[in-house]
Amino acid sequence: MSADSGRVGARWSSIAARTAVVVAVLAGWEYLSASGSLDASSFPSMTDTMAELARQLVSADLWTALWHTVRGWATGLAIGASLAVLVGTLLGLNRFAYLSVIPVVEFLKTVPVIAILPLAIVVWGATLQMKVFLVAFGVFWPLTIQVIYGVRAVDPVVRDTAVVLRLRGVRRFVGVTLPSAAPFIATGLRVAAAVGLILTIIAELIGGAKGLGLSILTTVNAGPQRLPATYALILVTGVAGVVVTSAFARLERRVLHWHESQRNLAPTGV
Amino acid sequence: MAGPDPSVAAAKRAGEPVLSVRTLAKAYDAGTSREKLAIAEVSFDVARGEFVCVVGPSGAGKTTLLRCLSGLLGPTSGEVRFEGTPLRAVPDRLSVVFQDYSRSLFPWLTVNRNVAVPLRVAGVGKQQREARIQEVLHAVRLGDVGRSYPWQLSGGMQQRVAIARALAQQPDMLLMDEPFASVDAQTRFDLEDLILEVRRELDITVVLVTHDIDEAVYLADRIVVLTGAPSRVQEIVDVPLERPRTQLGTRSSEAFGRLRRHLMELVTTSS
Ligand SMILES: Nc1ncnc2c1ncn2[C@@H]1O[C@H](COP(=O)(O)OP(=O)(O)OP(=O)(O)O)[C@@H](O)[C@H]1O
Ligand SMILES: [Mg+2]
Repeated sequence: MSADSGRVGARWSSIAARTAVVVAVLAGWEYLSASGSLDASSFPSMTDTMAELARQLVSADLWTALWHTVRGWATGLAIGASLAVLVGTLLGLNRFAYLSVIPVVEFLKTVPVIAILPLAIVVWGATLQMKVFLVAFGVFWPLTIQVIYGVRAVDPVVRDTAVVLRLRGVRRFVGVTLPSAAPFIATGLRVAAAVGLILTIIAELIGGAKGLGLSILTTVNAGPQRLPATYALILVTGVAGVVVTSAFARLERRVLHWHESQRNLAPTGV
Repeated sequence: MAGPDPSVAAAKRAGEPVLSVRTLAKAYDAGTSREKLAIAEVSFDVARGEFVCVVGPSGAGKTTLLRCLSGLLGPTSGEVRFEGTPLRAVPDRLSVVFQDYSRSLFPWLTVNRNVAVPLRVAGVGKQQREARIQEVLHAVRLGDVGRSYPWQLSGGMQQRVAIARALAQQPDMLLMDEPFASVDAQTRFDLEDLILEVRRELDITVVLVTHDIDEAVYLADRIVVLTGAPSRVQEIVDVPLERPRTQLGTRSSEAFGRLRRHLMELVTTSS
């Protein structure tokens, strides 16, 4: 009881502390622009930006742009992640395939996705497909490697136990290999989700596909009086990033509640 | 139920052994520059219903031996026969309890689901499965923990779950690798008595590996004493202590002391 109320208390004080920091940063921003330390032609005041943000939040344009961004991101992530889990599992389970293919995977992982952006633009133009391809490609390689390591990381005692319990084939894969690999896959997914969002915005900014990235570019091109809108949109992308990361962290905590790193943090759901 | 009648035990021993180990040798990384001989030459038999302990110093190759006996590891030379046929894989009527319960129990499954694994594999129906789970959890004296996760339990309780899961396989023979090495003394006594009871009730053959001489004397019908690595059989010692055994009575008996002393001599001279 007292331990519980202590935990609730700690939670409230951490929320209070974070709120205070946010307020302090916003106040500092306002102070700096009011005092003239921030050049008004490239850095609008906090209040102007917030007023613009409030206007944007009730306009359909922002929500349409957000929808385009989310759709491209989610589709690309889903495709890239599914392929990565499939390919990573096959490579992880087959030593020969692993040894043959791993140099290529390692190499392609290091190719900066930005380097293939022009190619994607040439092939697909400023379209959803271009965005989806870029995200799927960027997410696929690092996640594949993560899945391979996860599948190969089954503890030797767990492996012996599976043999002794006569777990074979699909039952063994679903019951032992996947749960053992899950912590690796979850970390990979969390990172992939964040990287995927960045790639989506880049595809829109540079490739010109519809979405938050393109909206930012449009407001920049519209001249200095649209500057608060630029900053408001940048804030929105930041918030989107935070939402995505914390959503995946929550998911991880739920699914991996049994894992050493997550124990006693979440309700077990039993 | 009283302990096994000595004349019956003798008759069983006269019959065909359940497990027969013949000039077993095991080298790791055989044929490479890192070749490491873990077992030099080990031979012994285990009769049906017998409780055999294998003792040896740390690093003697006990775990290696147990993995060879279970079919998890193939021998470099020599042979292991289970119920008359040479081992190729882990036989159906054999189960293993590993030393490290925190790794051998699946942390992503509740206790009930851990115990259910071998039952699902065997295709046991849902209702029968639940009955069996209750039965084996009761056999290891575990109360209402089925819905907990193994890591929410104490070490002693976790090892009970591991034993319950092994029993759910309805094995003829149970192999155990230092099963009580990482629990406190009191829990250890409880678990030793538990395994003796289970073995008597279910009439299974047990081979238990340990580095603890007292434990071996308390549990076993016979003790296979190994030398240090690479291991050989130093001596096979009969333990004619009467059953049922009790921690206080048996351990304070004169016969126990004599056996213990004999084994101490063997182990200290071997190293
Ligand atoms: N996978 C392996 N590869 C190479 N050498 C190994 C391997 N496993 C064990 N060994 C070696 O074989 C020898 C016997 O190891 P083993 O684990 O069987 O000993 P043990 O008697 O079980 O020891 P402990 O009492 O510490 O559990 C040791 O010298 C060890 O270094
Ligand atoms: Mg060992």
